[in-house]
Amino acid sequence: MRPIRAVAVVAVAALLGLLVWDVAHQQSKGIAAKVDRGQSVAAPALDLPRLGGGPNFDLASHRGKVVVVNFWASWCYPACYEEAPVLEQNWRGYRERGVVVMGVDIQDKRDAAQKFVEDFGLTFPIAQDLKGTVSVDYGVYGVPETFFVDRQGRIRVKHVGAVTDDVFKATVDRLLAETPAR
Amino acid sequence: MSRMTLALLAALILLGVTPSQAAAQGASPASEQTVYDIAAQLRCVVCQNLSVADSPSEMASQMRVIIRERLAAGESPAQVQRYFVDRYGEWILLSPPRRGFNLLVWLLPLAAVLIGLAAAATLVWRWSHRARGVRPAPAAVDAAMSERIRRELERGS
Repeated sequence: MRPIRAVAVVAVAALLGLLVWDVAHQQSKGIAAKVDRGQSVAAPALDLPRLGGGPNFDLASHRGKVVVVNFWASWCYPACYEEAPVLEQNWRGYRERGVVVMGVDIQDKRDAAQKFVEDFGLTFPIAQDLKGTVSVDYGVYGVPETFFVDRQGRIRVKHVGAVTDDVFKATVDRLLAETPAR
Repeated sequence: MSRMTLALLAALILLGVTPSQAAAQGASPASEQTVYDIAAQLRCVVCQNLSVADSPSEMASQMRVIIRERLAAGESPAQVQRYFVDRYGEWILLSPPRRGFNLLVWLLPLAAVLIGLAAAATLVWRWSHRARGVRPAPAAVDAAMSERIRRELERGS
């Protein structure tokens, strides 16, 4: 029995070694995994046409503010319908404190998206990612997904699913409390 | 611009083909295969067990366009794949890279086969060794039984 036991011990040790090596050399993690591990991830460029027309929404021009980038779609029921009033209410409550809420409508029809915006009376800027390039740049899997970008333009939190009032306030308050960008 | 280039442009214009169309048509067959090859290695992020090449979803369609555009911009297939891995992690690769812990996917089946073969060989060796070296003990028959058998045999003959 002894040789078998020795082989088993060596096999388990080898497996543990491989596991440790893998964890130590994880370079190929996506944006979500990096953010979850507390790594600093620069928010990808985001310069998209607004849903209702007008000048593009350019994330870079809001450096120094906390930006909440929310990916949504009108067909995303019920999560997007649940969070829309939360986002609108907090946009109105926080905009004077240097917070920008930005909606990015993806994989959607323009008319359906416009109706969604009107139905919920959304006043924060909404852009459309018609080609999906920004969605992939941000590593979006589905909707809704929300990225909280700090004043230095780094993604600090990625939230999957409907944003609740508690999540919004806790995250934004934390980012606002940090040292402003120089 | 050389005379040759001008002549070529004039010929294209006469044929009703713009230079960009010509470039697209010229690059199309090879690059479409490359687009397919890259898309086939990527997992569709909104599907289950479908590649970007096979998925009919809008997201996969947009990802195929992105692959095509990045190749057209001069990126290599490896760079295009890297772009997706940087955003979604190695999860997006349908076939995990052969290094680190992922090696187990390739090594464990091989190890299992080797261990199985070794176990089978050991058992066969043991059985054959035992059969050759150990003779079965004769059945114990008492004297009364032996006498009875002898009498039965004599009676029979």
